[in-house]
Amino acid sequence: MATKKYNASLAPDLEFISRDTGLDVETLTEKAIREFIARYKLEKIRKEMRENVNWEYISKLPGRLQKGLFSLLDTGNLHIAADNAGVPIDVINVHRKKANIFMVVGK
Amino acid sequence: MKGVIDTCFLVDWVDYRRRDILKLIFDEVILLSEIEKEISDQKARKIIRNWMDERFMKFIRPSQRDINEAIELTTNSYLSTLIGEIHYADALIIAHAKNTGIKNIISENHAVLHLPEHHPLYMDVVVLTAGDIILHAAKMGYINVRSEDDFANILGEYQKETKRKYSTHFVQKLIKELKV
Repeated sequence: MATKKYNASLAPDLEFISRDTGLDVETLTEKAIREFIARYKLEKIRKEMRENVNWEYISKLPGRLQKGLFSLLDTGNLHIAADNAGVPIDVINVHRKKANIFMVVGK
Repeated sequence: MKGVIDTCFLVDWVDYRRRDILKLIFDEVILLSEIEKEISDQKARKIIRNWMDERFMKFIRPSQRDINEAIELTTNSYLSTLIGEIHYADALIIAHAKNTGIKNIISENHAVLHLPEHHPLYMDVVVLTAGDIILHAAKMGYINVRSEDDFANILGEYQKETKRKYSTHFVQKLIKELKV
């Protein structure tokens, strides 16, 4: 693969991505960089959603609702959480609010 | 302007005190049958019924083309770290918005928000969040905003009422657009 020339100021970022992806800096493709950023954003969202969660409230819920809220914390997606809990989306949303789980929106 | 609405957005928006600004921004909002099925709350259903009676909200069954495309999109999303996991209901909204030429999606779902950036087929789709809708309303004078702080407070009020959290970057972007 042809060696790419990057702006020198990007070097530390590219090295960081290289360490994370296991790919050599010289062979980092645009797709690999975009994938890294996408994963980074999702990870950031997961982290922020876990802040201030009322774990005690979740622990008292029936197993399926717990499963739904855990999948919400993992995916950030209410549809997936409702499917996993086996309840309508507005029901899981009520438990989300009671469990103090904030939906993080970043555009 | 027309828009296709997502349940994740709708379930919180119906509880928002300024929910009627949606009617000032959009001429018509499309609610797909798959989306409507996901709502059980009586209050939400009543508001939806009222909006339908007012002909502001239109109930539509997705076409076979929308369904096929949604299945394909959902399947592919499992394979792509770039797009992330897309639920069938999200995919249906996206496919319908694209296939009908409506283009506007009202959603705050992470996967939906970032799909147009990464998927060449959906680059023309525009995803509007509550923040974008509040911004439009402020710019058009439907909400009385005298300063950046006023606007930030209104955004804060929405986030507090719905337990949603906008990234600092997104709030700054909205405030910047307000100035323009």
